Amino acid sequence: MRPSRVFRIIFRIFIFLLTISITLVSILGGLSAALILTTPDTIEVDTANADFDLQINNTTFVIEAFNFTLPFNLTNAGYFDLENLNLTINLEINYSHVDYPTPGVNTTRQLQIFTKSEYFGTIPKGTKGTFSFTGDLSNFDIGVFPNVTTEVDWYRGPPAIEFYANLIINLDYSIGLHSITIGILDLPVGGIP
Amino acid sequence: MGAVKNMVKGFIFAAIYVVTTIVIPMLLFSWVRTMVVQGLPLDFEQQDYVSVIFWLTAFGLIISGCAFFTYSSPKQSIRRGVFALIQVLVNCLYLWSYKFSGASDITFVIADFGYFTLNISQMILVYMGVYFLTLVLKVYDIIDFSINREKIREDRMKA
Repeated sequence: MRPSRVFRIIFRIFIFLLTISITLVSILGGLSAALILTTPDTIEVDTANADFDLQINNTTFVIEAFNFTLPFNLTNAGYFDLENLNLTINLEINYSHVDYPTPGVNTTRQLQIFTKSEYFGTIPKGTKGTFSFTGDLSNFDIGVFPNVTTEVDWYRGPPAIEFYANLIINLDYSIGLHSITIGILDLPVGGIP
Repeated sequence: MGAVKNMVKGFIFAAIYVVTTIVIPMLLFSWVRTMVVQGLPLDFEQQDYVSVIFWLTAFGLIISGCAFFTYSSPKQSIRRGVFALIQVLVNCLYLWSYKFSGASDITFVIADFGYFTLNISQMILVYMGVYFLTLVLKVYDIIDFSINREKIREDRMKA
């Protein structure tokens, strides 16, 4: 056999092994993503134990404190570790705005009052990760919150002010070959009164 | 007899490429569309699905055609080398079609729940790396077949 053919065979074997490895990782990664998504209760957002504390001053009606805690579980039913788990939560309020846009007209508005991203690291394969997302006044957009004495129609509801959460979960899989984003939208988390 | 054998070989490899580049991806996309996430069905835009399937089928057919000409050509012939090189280039375009058809970053809407996005761009880039190495090998083959043309012909006659 010519030396050039021997070199070719060695190079070919190298490419073959590389292709097989990547294909195996890709197939297992795809199967894992399907397993994670189709397994019931993979994502458990514990809204029943969510702590939602909004304190408004009785005289100045200024928001003095805000604390938000949301426990959640994520089960990794796949063949690889779930890496770079990142959770972003946007809180929105839904209320009826008095005399908006013109006097005598009340309009239902949805405003984003809170946004925060938190990094939770890695969930090893076959395990369940239990996490707690926390936020406070520093993540709160005070400027957009309506004036509770003059702008909120308290005759609507109850609740007059409804709180909804949008959860966006980002994670990497199969040594970063797959990236998954799961969005849970308009999850009710509470209301006033 | 050798020509018939080569033709049969060409058809077999063309069939293999039809299965791996068209049938399997199509079945995979159809299966993903039937998936149930958190007890709710996935919703995939019909237009996106049609676009993805169109590009996969188009490039899949070209790859299969190239595979027929590659594998039906005599071993170590320049014709085989040229078709193999064209096949790798079309394979690269096929992989890239996943990106421009939107198949590398698909968003599925889950009614009354939210959405789910799967991004496989990194995986496609890694595969492109492997295809680059294959491209180098095919160029090497053409040079080798051209330089050693007489020797290859002599060996073929002896066999």
